[in-house]
Amino acid sequence: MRAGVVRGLGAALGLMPTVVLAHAYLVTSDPPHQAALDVPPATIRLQFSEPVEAAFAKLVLQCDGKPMPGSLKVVASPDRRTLTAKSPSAVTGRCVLDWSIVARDGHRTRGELVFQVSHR
Amino acid sequence: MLRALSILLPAVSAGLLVLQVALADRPQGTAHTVPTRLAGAALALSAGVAGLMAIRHGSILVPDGTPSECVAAALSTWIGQVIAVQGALAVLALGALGLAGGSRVASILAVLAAATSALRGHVIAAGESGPSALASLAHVTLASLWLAALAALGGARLLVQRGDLDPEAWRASLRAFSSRALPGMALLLATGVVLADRTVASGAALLATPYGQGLLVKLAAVFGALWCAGKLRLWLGQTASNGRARPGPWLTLEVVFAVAIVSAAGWVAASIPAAHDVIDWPFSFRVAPTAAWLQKGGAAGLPVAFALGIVAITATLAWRFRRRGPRRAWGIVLAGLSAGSALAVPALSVDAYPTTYLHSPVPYEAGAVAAGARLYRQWCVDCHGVQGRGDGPLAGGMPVRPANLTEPHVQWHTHGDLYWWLTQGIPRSGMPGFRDHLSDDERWQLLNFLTALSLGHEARTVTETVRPRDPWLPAIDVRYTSASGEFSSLSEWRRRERPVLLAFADDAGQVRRLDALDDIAGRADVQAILVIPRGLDIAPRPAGWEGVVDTQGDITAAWSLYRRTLDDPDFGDERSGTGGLLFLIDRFGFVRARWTATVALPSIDEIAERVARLAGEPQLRQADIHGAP
Repeated sequence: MRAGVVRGLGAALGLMPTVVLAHAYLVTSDPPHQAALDVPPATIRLQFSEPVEAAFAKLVLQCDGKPMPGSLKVVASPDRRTLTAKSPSAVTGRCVLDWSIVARDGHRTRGELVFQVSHR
Repeated sequence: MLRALSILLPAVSAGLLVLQVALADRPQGTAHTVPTRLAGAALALSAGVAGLMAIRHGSILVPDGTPSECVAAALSTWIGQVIAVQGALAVLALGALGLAGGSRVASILAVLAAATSALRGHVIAAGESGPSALASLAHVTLASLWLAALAALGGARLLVQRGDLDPEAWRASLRAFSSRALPGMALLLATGVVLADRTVASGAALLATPYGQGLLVKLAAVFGALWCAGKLRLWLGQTASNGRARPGPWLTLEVVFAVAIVSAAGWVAASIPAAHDVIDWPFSFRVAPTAAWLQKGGAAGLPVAFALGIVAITATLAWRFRRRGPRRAWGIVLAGLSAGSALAVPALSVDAYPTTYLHSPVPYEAGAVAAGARLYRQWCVDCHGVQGRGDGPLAGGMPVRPANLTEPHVQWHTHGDLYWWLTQGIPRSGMPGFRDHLSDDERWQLLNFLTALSLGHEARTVTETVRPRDPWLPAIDVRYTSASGEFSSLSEWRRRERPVLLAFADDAGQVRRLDALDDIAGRADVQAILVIPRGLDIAPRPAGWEGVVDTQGDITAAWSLYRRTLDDPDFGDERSGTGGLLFLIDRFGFVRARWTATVALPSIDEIAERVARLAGEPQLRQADIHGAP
C-alpha cells in the first residue's frame, strides 16, 4: 500500500515539467507560446503577472539549435510587468526563448517560449 | 530564517527598550542595564541580518557575483532597498541608544525596522496599492508591536522571578496589555485573511502548496497563542486571594507560539505565493459540491439529507442535555458533526488526481484546437468514433463503453483530471495512457479539442439573441498578423476590453454580404474581423473590417466546431466549415450571439444595441476553460 502511494507520488512528480512553474508567472507573450509564424517577429514581448526587475532579466534565443550570442536587451513597460526585446531579424525554424526573470518580490523564475518561423 | 529574524530581532529589542524605559520611570528605579545591553545586541544582529539578506538577494540577481557585487546589485532593486532601509533603521536605533534618553527613540526606530518588512511582502512588492497594501502594512506593524509587547512582558517576568520587580506591578501591566491586545489580534487576523485572499486564491492552493501549508501552520500557531492569551486572561480575572500567584506556563507558551508564528511567516514570505504555484494535489478526492451534483445527481442528495438530519437530531439532544454540563453537550455536538461530515463529505466529493489543479500551458487557441483535432483522428477515433460519440470500431470490445465526448460531462471535470486520464489511462476501462506517445503539449492540445468539441455541441442553443448575464461559451483565440504587420489576437482585444465581431467567409458572395455592415467599426464600438481562406480575394474589403487570412486552415477547423445549431445540429458531420457565420464576442471573451449563413444579417443598429447592452454587464466569469465546477 505504502509503496503504491510512493510510486504514485513519484509518477506525479515526474509528470511535472519544470517549466510549468514558470507558466504561472508568464501571463502572455508575443509571439505566443507554440505560435507558427510566416515572418520572424520584429520584437518579442513577455507580459508577467507581477512587476519584474528588468535589469536582471535574461532572454536567450536559440533557433534550430543555433544559440544567438548573449542575452537580448530588454526594455520594461512603465508598470514593469512587460518586457520587450528586439528580436534578431534573421531567425528561422524552431525558436526557443529561454527566459529567466527576477520578480520585484525577489523570486527568480524561468521558462521557455517556443515558436516556429516557417521557411519561405 | 533570515526573514523571520529581520522582524523578530528589532521587535524584541523594541520590547526590551520599552521595559527599560518603564523600569527607569519607577520611583525606586533599580538601575537595570541588562535590557538595554540585550536590545543593543539584538539591534546589532538585525543590522548584520540585513547585510546577509542583501548578499543572499544579490546572489539571486548575479549568481556568480562576489559579495560586494551582490550587495551592489541588490541595492538597485526594490527588495534590496527595503533591506537597506531596515538595516539603516537598526543602526540608527543603535546610535540613539548611546544618547541620553535615547531608549524611547530607539524603540520607535526598532519597531519601524520590524514593520518595514511589510514592504518586502508579495502584496506590496508586486506593486499593489489600496486596501491590500494597507492590510499588509497594518498586519506586519501590529505583529511587530505584539512581539515587542511579549518581549517586554517576558523580560519583566524574568525580573519578577529574580525578585527585582513587584509581581503586582507586572500583573497590572499584563492586564493593561491583555485588554489592548484583543482588538489588535482581531485586526491582525482580519488583515491576514485579506492578504491570504490575495496570495492563496483557492482552498486547493491552501491545502496543497508549500505556501498554503506554511500558512496553515502559522494559523495553528496563532490559535495556540490565542489559547494561551485566553488562559492568561482567566488567570488575571482571579482575585489575589483565591487565585494562583503564578500565571503557570501560559506566558512562556505564548512566547513559544509567537516564535513559531514568526518562523512560519518568514518561511511563507520566502515561498512562491500559492496563487502562482503549481498544485500537486495529495488526495484521491476533492470536495466539490457542484461537480459532485453534476456527476452523481440525486445519489449525492440522499447522504447529505441524512447528514443534515443527524446534525439536527444531535443538536436537539445537546440542547436537552445542556444542564448536565457543557462538556457532555459539546461532546454530542462534536459527535453529530463528525458523523454528519463522514456521510456528507464523500457524497459531495469527486475523484481527484495529482494533476487535478494543473493549468494548461497551451492556451485555448485555434492552432492548438486544430492540432488537437488532428491528434484525435490519429489516436482516438478507433474507440471514441469519428464524431466523438464513443462508437468507434473497437468500442464494442471494451470492458467499459468509451465515453461520449460530445456530451457536456467533459466540462464537469477539470482539465487537470482529463490530462491525468489522457496521460495515465483509466484502470480497468480499456482507456490507455498516452504519456509515451504524445508529448506534454500534444496532450494539452488534444484536451483543447475535446473541450471545443463538447462546448460546440452545447453551442447549438446560441442564437442571434443575447441572453443577458449569461456568458458561458469561451471564444477560441485567433492569432493573426494585422494589415500593419503587428501581431494581434482575439485575446488582445479581450485585454483591451473591446468586443469583437468575428465573421467567416468562404467565397466572394459571403464577403459581399458583409457590405451591409460597411464601416461597422465607425458606427458600433466593436472590433470587426473577417476570416477568409487562403487565396480568396476580398478586394474591395468592406470598410472597417480587419482581414485575416487563415493560411493553415486552423481557424476555420477550430471555429467550425461552434457551427452547430438546434435546427441544423449536423450530428453526422456531413458539412463542416464556417462560411457565412458571424459571432459576437463580448469584451470578456465569451461568444454571446451568432448568425448563421441562413439567417438575415443584423443591421449595424442591431449590433450596436447588443454591444451597448453588453457594455453594461460586469465580468461574471473568467473566459478560462481550464477550471471546472
